[in-house]
Parts: sequence; structure tokens; C-alpha cells
Amino acid sequence: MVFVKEVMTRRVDYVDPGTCVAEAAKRMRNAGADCMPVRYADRLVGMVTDADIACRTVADGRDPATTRVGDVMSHDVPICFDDQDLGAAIGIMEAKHMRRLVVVDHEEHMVGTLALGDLSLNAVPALSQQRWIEAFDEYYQWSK
Amino acid sequence: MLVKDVMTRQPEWIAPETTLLNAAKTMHDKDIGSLLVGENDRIIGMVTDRDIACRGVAQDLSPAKTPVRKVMSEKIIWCFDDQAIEDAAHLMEGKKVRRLAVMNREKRMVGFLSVDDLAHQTHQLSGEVLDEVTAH
Repeated sequence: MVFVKEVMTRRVDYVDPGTCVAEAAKRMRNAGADCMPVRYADRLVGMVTDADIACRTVADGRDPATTRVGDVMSHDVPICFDDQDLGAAIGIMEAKHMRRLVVVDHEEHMVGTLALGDLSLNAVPALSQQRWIEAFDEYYQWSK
Repeated sequence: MLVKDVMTRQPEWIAPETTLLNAAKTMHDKDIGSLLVGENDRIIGMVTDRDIACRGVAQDLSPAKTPVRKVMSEKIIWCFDDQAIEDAAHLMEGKKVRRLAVMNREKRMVGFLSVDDLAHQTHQLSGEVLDEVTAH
């Protein structure tokens, strides 16, 4: 069994719900990310995406410089636990039709993200070959 | 599975002078993330929700005053509707884009394909991951 924490990306970029949408857009551009978790008091409270910025801010005629992320974000954020097994996490991605999950620990602190791209050999060179074989076997078994 | 089986059909056209505000409204109303930009019955570009976010909002451009011409991509990355979705996924990875325009063999734009359209396909997901692995 391979755990999410072994293959996830540990760096978590996030914004605060009080951040203005223009600032969030800058951070997403600089991070090359199409979505960003929203954190308040060390808890995950939402997710903001390109679509939220275009469709819930610009389309509604709101000013991105004064509109807060908390007012346009999506509240339903797909998550998984860091000690969950990889197959189950991939199952969540499929069920929710999302390519990326926010990884939390059991105190609900964000500890990373899990994207399909994390499942590449480049992403986590520290993982031994044997563990990779297990991870892909798990993925393959699940995808059948 | 082929691109035409999972793509979003009937791409919407807008004029290059359309404001970001109105382009975003069209995306919102039609529940889509990309639009074709046309002038004199010719496609001159493509604009996505990401272009509006990263090239518009992130640059502090006014959505009510900025035309999509300023933020659109002039170079359209496209695929054929009868190509396999694995090929389209490869193209997205190679070009680092999240959306492709889709053309039929008569060279007409017939739709858009997004990463999310692909993420709905279980087998495509496994294809994508396995592709990445074999690439390294």
C-alpha cells in the first residue's frame, strides 16, 4: 500500500479569504496554478479557480481589486487525508471529476496537494523504485 | 475513445473588441471556459477563463474597458475531432495548455476540449499517468 503523503506535493500555496481577487489571480499566474486553496485560521475553507475569477467576478461586473476571494470561491473542496491510500485518493478524483485534491491531516490542517502530475517519477525522486512500482500497480488496479 | 466523444460542441464566437466583462458573461451563461475570437469570418484567436484571470485581472486591466484582443491567444493549439484522446492529452502536456480547439477534417472548428473533459474519462487518466512515466 502506498500512502498519499509519500507522493503528494508538500508545498501548499494558498490565499486568505480576505485577499482581493486581483491578488489571487497574480499568485495563480505566478504559481502556474489554475486553482488555489483558501485558508483561514489554519483551516481549509474553500478553493478559488480561473473560472471563479472569470465567471463569478468579472462576469458579474465586480471589481477584482475590491472583491474578496471569500465572496467568489467554491466551498466544496475535494480533499483526501495524508494517510489515506493512493488508490482511494484517485477514486475521489474520479468521483468528483477533479484533477487535484487538497491533502489534509486529521486536525484538518492543509499539508499538501495531490495532482495527477505527482504520480510522475520526476516529482518525487526520493521514492524508491519498488515503492513506485507499488504506486502504479495500485493506480492501475484501481483504474481497471 | 475519440476527441469528438468527450469534447464540448458548438464553440461560441465573439468579436475581438468584446470586453473582458462581456466575454466572461458569455462563458458564465453558456457554462464554458473558452471562446473563439473571430473577425471578418476568420478565426484570429481564442480566449479562456485563464486568459481573463491571468492576463486581464492579474495585470489590473479593467474588465469593462479591455477588449479580448488584448488577452487572447493568437496561436490556437488544436486537434482533429477524430483523434484519440490520448493524442490530445499528449498535445496538451507538450504545449502546456489546458484547452484545445477541435477541428473536423473539413477544417471547421467544431468544439473545444479541456483537461476537465479528459479527467472525466477513467481510462484517459491512466493513459496520461502512464505516458508521464514512460516519458522519464
